[in-house]
Amino acid sequence: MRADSLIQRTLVLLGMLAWSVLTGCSGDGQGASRRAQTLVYCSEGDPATFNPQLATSSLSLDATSGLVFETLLRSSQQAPDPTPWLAESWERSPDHLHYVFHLRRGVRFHAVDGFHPTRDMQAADVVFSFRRQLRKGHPFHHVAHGDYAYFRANRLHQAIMDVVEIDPYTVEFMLRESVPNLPQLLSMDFAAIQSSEYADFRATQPELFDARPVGTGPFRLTDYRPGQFIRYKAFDNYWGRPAGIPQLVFAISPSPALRYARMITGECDLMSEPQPGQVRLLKQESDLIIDSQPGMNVAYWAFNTNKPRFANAQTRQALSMAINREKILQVVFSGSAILADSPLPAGMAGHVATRPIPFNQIQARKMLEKSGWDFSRPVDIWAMPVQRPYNPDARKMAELIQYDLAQIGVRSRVRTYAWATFLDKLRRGEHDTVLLGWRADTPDPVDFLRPILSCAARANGTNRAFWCDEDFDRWLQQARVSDDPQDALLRAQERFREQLPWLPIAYARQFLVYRKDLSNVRRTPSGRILFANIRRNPETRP
Amino acid sequence: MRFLRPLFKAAGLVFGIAMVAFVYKHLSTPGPEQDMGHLLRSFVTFAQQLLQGHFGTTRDGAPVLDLFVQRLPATMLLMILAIAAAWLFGLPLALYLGKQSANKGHWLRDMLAGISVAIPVFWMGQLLISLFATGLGWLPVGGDLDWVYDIPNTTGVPLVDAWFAPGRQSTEAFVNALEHIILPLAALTLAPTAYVAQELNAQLENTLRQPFVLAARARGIPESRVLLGHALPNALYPVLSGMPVQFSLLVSSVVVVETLFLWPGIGSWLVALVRSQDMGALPGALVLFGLLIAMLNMLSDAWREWWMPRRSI
Repeated sequence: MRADSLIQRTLVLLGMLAWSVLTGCSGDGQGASRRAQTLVYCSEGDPATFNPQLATSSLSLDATSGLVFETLLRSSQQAPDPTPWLAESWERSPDHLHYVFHLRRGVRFHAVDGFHPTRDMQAADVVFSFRRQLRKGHPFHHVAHGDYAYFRANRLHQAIMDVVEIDPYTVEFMLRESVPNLPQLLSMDFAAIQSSEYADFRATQPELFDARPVGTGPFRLTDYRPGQFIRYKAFDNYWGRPAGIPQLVFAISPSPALRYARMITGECDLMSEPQPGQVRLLKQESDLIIDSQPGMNVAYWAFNTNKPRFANAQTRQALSMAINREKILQVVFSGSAILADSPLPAGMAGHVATRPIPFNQIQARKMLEKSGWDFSRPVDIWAMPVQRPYNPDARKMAELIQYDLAQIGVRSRVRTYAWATFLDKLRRGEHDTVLLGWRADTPDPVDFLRPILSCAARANGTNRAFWCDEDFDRWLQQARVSDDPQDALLRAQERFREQLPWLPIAYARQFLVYRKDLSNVRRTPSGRILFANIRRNPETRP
Repeated sequence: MRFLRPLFKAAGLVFGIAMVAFVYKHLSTPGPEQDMGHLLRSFVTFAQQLLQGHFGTTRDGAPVLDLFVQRLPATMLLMILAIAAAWLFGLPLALYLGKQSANKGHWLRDMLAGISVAIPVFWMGQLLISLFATGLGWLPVGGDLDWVYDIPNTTGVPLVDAWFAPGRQSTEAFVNALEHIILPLAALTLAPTAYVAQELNAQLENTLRQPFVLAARARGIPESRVLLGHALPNALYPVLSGMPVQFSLLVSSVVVVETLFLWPGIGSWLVALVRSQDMGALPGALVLFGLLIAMLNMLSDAWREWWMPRRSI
């Protein structure tokens, strides 16, 4: 009897398999409806952490921020000022040293691994979330190596004196110095609100606090298999509008070819960052939508100004003039990028079209000769080994630059290392020149420029040119504090154009590819996809 | 002594791999120049840790041994099914070719020779993907299960997990898991299938010329019984004894196939570790992989011993 039923089951299964392979659809109507209940996003790789406070890569932020975790305030594409989110309102003292936030009521935290929250989000959770990043002695400060890069980069560890609870639904930020853009900063991903009750639950195994995250977001993380997938389920007790699709899966697909293939076969509903060359092919697919926006990014060729031969602005101008950037745009970006002359992305507030950087190799050669350039010594061009949205192929870009430099008699070598080694050597300033880029986290132009071009950023290594210019820094500071930053930003960009610590190359367009039956696919200003808003229209699915 | 020999062989192999893994780690981690004595001491520490069962942790802090054990079933399933499929298809092929005239060339015979020698597995895999996945859209590109199915992960192999999981979803998930295994299995099984078909065919031809076959035919035994009952068992013998070699050859192809089809076994895991240059995990993972190969070799030695006792001295 048992054997019989086994054989029967096997036969049924074989029949179903044959049927499904032949008809090309999985199972029956139920299978199709299960597909409709799941949103599959082809992501580029494994997140380094599930805690947005610790995250520095967009991979980690995409997988947590806005999905699992939320912030007190939120920035939107429409309004320049952040809008209330987990905080319903806020006040600021006249001296800008005290901010009081009134929290939203009825915000629930997720349940995970036997942890069941007994109360709603309260001031204690906000205090925990910021003291963890602020205080070195905090029991959770050093968990997962505790490097709160964004918190520190924005100097909040110096500016914030303390975060205190006034009553269960009111929190005060006490500052040492004025931070005019505190609301903007608190809408950034790193300002995620975590549960202090959950921290108590994980007191004996604090490393699990970040690995099995508990937040207030529309999705809760249920399963993660490195290199394979991350699974999220819609959070039933979400305070806001519930997620449109009950299950969300990040299908980890490191190679662009794989993401492309999974879009074509219908395994993925959504993918980001196709290679520029694939865009044309994807456009031919009738059931896909290709959404493109001017990206909030810049690709650049930075000169290490710490090295004497690149310390002279004349030299940098001359080398820049020798580069045919139009050609780079065609070859590397397949025409899907905008020529850059300013370090600020074209789509960002405060961007001005400064004097274009000309392409003139005869003049470049003359200027180099005049500046006493040593033509016998080669220039090293460092090309990053990974594909980034602002630079799909740094190696090819390096080769094109190498060719252009050869035209004016400058010898060069292309260098690349494994990604971790590459970043490490860059930080130590071992490079002559490097091809890299930068992507915005907030719509704020000063936030964009400060980490890559300010004197202060030389120390933490994100200023790849090691350029430090007092005038430029002063204009940045002015843009930060003044009510009308336009003029200060213009002057900062003009100063950059004179000095040219790096050659801006391109503002890459940002692509998002998704199936036609999805609607309401949007990104935040910092590039996060708003998965919870996405809806599926069942009737358009074939 | 005879029984200890394979053990020594295995130990030697693992020791060699441990040394290579150690040297690789040292060459690729930038650090101050070190003298030979220091290197030797740190190798001894490394070896001691291995002997105590500490195979290191990955960058995320997960123990290498745990990950290896989690991913092993998926690889073993793929390899065992590949061998099974090789016999399922190889045996009838060999019999069919055996019925053809031995002297005349046959296109199938040439094709098998071509497949077994000339087509690298990574190319075959890509061909299968572009034909059946991205081209015709019949089968998925890779992975082991569509993400829409959320079944409990007990063995690490959805094919098995789905079979035992309750509910209607599990049947669908099982079919889906089967769809996922078809292409990697096809890519992996091609070489051993060609081996079985070719080798068995050659042995059959050889056996069919033996006097005892002539005697059987003379006694009036039907040709099908001569083939299946008399010739085949004798021809099987040398082919089966060559199987362990095929199995260990599979180990290297399985790394390629898993990477290509994103099969979550130890092969793709190893490649991912190399790609991410996870030096805390890589040496231990390499040693574990070596241990697996050594164990397979030992098993095949034992198998040979059992099958062909006369070979051993």
